[in-house]
Amino acid sequence: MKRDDLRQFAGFVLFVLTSLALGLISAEWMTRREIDFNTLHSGPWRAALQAAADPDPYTRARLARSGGAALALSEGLRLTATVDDDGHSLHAECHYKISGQGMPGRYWTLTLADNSLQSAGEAAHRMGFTSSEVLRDHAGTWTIELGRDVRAGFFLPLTGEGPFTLVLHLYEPSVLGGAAAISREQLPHIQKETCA
Amino acid sequence: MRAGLFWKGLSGGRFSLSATLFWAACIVVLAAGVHIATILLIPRFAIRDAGHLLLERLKMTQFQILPPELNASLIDDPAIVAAACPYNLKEGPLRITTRPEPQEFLSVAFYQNGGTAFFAVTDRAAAKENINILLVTPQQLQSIEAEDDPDEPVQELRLIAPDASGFVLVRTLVQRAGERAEAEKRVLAVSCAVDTSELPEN
Repeated sequence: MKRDDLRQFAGFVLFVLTSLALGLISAEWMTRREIDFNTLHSGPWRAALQAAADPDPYTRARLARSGGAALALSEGLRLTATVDDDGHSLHAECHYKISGQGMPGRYWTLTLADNSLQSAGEAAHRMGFTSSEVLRDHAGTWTIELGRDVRAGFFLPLTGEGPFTLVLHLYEPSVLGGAAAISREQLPHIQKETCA
Repeated sequence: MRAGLFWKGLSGGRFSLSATLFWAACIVVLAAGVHIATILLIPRFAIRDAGHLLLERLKMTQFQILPPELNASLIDDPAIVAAACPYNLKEGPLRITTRPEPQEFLSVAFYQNGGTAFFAVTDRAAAKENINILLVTPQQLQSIEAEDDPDEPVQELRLIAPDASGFVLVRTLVQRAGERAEAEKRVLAVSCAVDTSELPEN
């Protein structure tokens, strides 16, 4: 083999390997669970658009990699919040007041997904409320408080450290078209009170 | 000569801007192809997707309450009690039946192994208070329809599955803490069984 041929061959191998690596790395990155891609924002609430009847290839790939099972559109919607109404990230050292009125669904649940503690494993203390549990005032407003210091009323203790996530599930949504059809006013407010 | 440019770009030699740009464009095109192929193939070759995780822990063709770690990854809501029934239609059509209780949320959703639902029905949407679904492959549907008595209305909902294997998830809500046992009873009251009675005998 001539020296020039060898250089051409090495260049070709380099070309193929670079392209393969770029293609695979970008595919891996785009299908990571935490990547904020194809998400709908409404105030602090975000909905990953995975509940479509015929999800796009990226959503399919992300779901398959995550090992999850997305709710069907008619079954329910899943929304998450990692920030409060002012856009500051939710922190376990702070005290929060979450309030809402009628929600666009037959039932809802609000759950604390601590980033350091796995929510489902911690059965010892309460991690959430359902719409059947909370009481509403004369105007139809319910309030749930979150923090380290126990308060009267509907209260969720924050035990972990650092940032946490709130998960809101709406079961049998009364809107067609999924999370995109829900207005900001229909979703709960998250207000920060004090921080330790 | 394009090909000449390509090889010239690869073989180094004296720096040429057009050859370098052409080489970079080739990388972008090939990388994009690899990217698209990978995204499309992930659901088919995933070995840690919902269907595989369920099969590792559960028996085929019967509803079983999800263990806590599967409930966390598949359902992600501690207020939901769920049961799963993995199926393979090669054994025959799958029949799902239940009579939902009034005022208790119950949903039956049919999934591909990758975790996308292709059909779901809730207790409210269920016709005549009963859920009666026959999940079939396109071939099974053909032979069942050939046997149908034209004078008798079909009692069940016939659903065509996109793949032969998948799983069914039943979800119900524990409305108040302490009602978990009733919720587990509700999801286990749903039946999931192979039903070959409507297929022609051969």
